[in-house]
Amino acid sequence: MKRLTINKQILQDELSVELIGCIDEDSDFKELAGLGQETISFDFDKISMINSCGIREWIKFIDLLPARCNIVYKNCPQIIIEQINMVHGFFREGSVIESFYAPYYCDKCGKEAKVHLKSDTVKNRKAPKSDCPNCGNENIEFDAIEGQYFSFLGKI
Amino acid sequence: MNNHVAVYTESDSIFEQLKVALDSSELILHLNPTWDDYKEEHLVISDLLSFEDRIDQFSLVNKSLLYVISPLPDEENMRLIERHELRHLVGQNEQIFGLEIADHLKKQFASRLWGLNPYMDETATIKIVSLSDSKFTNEMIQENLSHFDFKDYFSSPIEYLQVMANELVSNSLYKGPNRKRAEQGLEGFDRKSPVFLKGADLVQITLGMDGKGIALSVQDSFGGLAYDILISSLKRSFEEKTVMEKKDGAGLGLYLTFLHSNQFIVNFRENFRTEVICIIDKNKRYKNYKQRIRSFHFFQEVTGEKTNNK
Repeated sequence: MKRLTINKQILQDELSVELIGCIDEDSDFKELAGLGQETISFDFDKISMINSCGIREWIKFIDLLPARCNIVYKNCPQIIIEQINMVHGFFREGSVIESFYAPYYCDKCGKEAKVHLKSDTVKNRKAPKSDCPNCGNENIEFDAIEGQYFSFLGKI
Repeated sequence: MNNHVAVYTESDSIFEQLKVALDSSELILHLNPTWDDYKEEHLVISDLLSFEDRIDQFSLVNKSLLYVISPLPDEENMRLIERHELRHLVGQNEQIFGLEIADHLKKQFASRLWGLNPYMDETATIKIVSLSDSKFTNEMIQENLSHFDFKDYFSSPIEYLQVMANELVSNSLYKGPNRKRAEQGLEGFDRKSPVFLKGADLVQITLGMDGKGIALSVQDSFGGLAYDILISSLKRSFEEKTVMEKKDGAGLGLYLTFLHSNQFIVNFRENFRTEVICIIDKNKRYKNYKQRIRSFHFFQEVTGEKTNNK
């Protein structure tokens, strides 16, 4: 399993960080400490696994970021959304979850789809409409418990 | 233990489902027998309402022979398990709970505690891996998972099985040896340090898939996960939902493993062996997987008791 790779790009006042691989006990976020950007955005799209020690390393790291720093979570896969919902501290209060993936199911082609959603398209914890990316079937069914899956939105 | 089973429920449907599930067994079910007829060696199955109605009587029952069927959500079920020291809490999932209880009763009657056999049929595909160090555990798990066909499943079981195996293997590799080192006054290993087990100590991972589901078993030769330790860890995690600053783990591994399983089963013999079995039902829908009420089972083998080691 691929160890965590951190790619960073500084864009004026924003530090854009892409996380790739597995967040575990060996993940080291030290290289991101001490950078002075007002906003740090984390792209979780290519995270393949996170274990309990990885969750701890992550929480320790974001706890050290200055309070004035705006944290943005982007492209959170289902495994990251579940950690945010299940573990206190994974998501720092006041941060923003810009976008994430959610499970949908198409009855027509019998396939599950991970649909990319912007947080502001979810109103009252109701899943927005989506079409099947595999067969084009319209308005496929959200395949999780809405109140549970979108509970992270109450933390924002 | 004899083959008479007392069932306490006011629900005809629950009793019927149990009757159908246990039809091929030699067990004889008695619906709501008078308490005076209850014999110490009987198995007792009760739904939550009857359990709460007879709480004083049930407190006298040998907990390893008591199965409680509950429709409550996981968090409340965990409180129920802790408060009443339950060993068997079965999620009241229609058309599933009867078969699930049947598997466990057959296991209990056959004294066949260890391994996946009680939960898998003869057609199951089984893969076994033995580990004696912490190198490449994730890669080995990943490689073994690649031999299974997940076309009848929602897309995430592989991700969950990887996390569960990772957590359980790490617990076995670190907590077992660290307990021994603590007894000798030595400092424990932290999760960043590589661990090499000595002598006959090893950790065995078994993956099995049949027509009903996929099962993961992680077995070690330390026998450190006693009921009290397990319950206290789960209780803390459910209540606090926070990480802990400990050398040998973050205190959330069992909680995550429990939440990713449909059935969470522990087989335990003190200072000899611990086996954690996680079962995920065959299911194409993630929603059904999440809606299913999780079941919890703890089996303890006592010294001197012989069980079939399959």
